[in-house]
Amino acid sequence: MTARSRLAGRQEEVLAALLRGEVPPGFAAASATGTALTTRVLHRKRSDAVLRVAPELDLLPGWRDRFHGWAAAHPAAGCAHDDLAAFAAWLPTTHPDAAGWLRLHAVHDGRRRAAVVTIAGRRALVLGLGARTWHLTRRPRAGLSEGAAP
Amino acid sequence: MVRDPAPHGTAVAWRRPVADLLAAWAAAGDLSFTEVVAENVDPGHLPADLAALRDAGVTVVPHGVTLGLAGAGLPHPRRLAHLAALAEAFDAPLVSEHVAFVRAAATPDPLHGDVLEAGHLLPPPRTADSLDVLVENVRAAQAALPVPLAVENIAALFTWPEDTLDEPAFLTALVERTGCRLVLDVANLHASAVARGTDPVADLLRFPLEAVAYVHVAGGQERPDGLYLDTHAHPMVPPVLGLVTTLVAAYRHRGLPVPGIMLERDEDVTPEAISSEYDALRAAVAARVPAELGR
Repeated sequence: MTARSRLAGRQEEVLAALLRGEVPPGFAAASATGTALTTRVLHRKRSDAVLRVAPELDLLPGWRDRFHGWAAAHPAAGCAHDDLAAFAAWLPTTHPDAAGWLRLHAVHDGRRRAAVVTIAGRRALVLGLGARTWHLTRRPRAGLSEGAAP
Repeated sequence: MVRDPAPHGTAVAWRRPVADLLAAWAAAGDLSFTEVVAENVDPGHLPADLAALRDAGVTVVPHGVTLGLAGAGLPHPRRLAHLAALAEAFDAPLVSEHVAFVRAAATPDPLHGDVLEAGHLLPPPRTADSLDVLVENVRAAQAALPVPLAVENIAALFTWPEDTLDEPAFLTALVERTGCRLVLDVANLHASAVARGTDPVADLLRFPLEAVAYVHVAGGQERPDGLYLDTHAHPMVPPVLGLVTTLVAAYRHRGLPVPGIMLERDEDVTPEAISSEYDALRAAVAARVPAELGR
């Protein structure tokens, strides 16, 4: 076995454990704080990338934790768009409460023209018009807002 | 305009929201160099602001983040060609990357295995084996680049149980065997030293300082669990600014020219935040250190 293949096997084993949120094989328990924080950084970088693709994720309560939980079991196999599609496909299997957000996401994605959803306790009509998405609520003032919340 | 050969003075990494600020500093003669994230720039279509800096005589260093020089595979020719093209486009005197692995596959040839992408810079083990592989990878990169390569120490929150070399010894051996230059990131050094429980000042003084092309510094977060997180989103913390002061004193003490020192910021990149951090950096560069540290 060459130095290269030994290194390949070991780096793969350690990275896979970090991505799953485990202390890598052979590491002392005392390393756990540092490896756990590394896992957080890895998951956070991945969720940041997905948020740039789909800013409407911020409208899904607790989405970061849900995404990081999913990411631990699903190592990156592509780009942020692939992550988003796979995460959205997985959501309804474990989080039935995400159905409304998935309809909203489908409008943002252009797969649906309109959806009625509840965002932060308020009913909203989400409309896709061309490349833009409108969120219409019954709020007395500023009832019309373009795009996803911040 | 004639470019100064070596980055010197204080600087800020180029980011689009502060393009005007950096242009103003360059016009006033206050910016000798800056850096761009290589993956964000197309050498065939340089942003006009960056081309203007180059034309004003500012050194623009292409800084790669996805090469994975400390990985088990050879650096990809396509990524090297991109760095080479950027070096030519900017007429840069060097390019820089990291001593890190960013992806891993069960076999060194990624065609024959599923590749795990870290999306982040991770520390390699520091063994004779991994040093041999890193040396080969750096030599392969050097052979593909038209200008010298400098490699940066990363912020590591853990060390490997199989390590047989510490970071200063590992980097010194790398420099001796490849002739590469270093980007010394003092915030990363602080993060790694805190995580592994070593003294960052003692580590700094054992780095091969004469091989350092330029220095990075950035803001971060001191956490309740005792670790330091290199966020590039917070103000620089006093121990990191203290390392800047120590570094300047160490160069002066050894009779070496002080390399350029560059601030990196990646979140809340506003002219206000950058200017305030830049003032703090310049104050740290100008500060005096206790005599016992200038050894």
